[in-house]
Amino acid sequence: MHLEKYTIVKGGSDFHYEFYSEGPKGRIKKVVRFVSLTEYENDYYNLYLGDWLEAEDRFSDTVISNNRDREKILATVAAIVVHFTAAIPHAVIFAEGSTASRTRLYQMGISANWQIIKEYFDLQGFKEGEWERFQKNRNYEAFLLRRK
Amino acid sequence: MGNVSTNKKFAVDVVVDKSIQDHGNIPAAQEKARKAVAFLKKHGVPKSFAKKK
Repeated sequence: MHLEKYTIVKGGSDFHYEFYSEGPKGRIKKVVRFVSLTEYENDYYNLYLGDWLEAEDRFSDTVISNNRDREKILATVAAIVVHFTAAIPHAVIFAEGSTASRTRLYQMGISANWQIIKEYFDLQGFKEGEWERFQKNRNYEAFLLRRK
Repeated sequence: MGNVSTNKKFAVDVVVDKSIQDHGNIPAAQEKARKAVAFLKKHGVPKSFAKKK
């Protein structure tokens, strides 16, 4: 978790985090929101990563910002997950990208932080209709993570 | 800006600023959550994650 990260800010709730991506496209506000999945089961949360679109006054998780800081963003999101699960240790986090390429992006972030993740987290990947313990270099459709 | 909340084990610093606008319900995030529920209901979770009944 010692990769370069952005400064993370959270508000009064444990579920909303923000940071600013900085690069050639400027300063872009990013939000990570954990949404409770109580309709499925208590303790389950969906991870949402979105960009704030100032002109449209809304968030989007489909826009491609191309701010040339992918690794730093992923390290920041990983740090947010660590912080969130410290606050809510029983949380099970579900993550699926808005597109296949974004899901692969999550996978790259996990792989980059794998040494520390595997020590402290139980991480499962969904592939071809089944969950399995996460393995690097396998492309998954979705992820489930919780603290060991 | 407010306090800094630190997770020492992972060297994670988070600035706590209760004045930031949290934007209430984010429609796109709520939609993702609905899809996540549908996914989990359809595919279930790994046995190791399932709660003992």
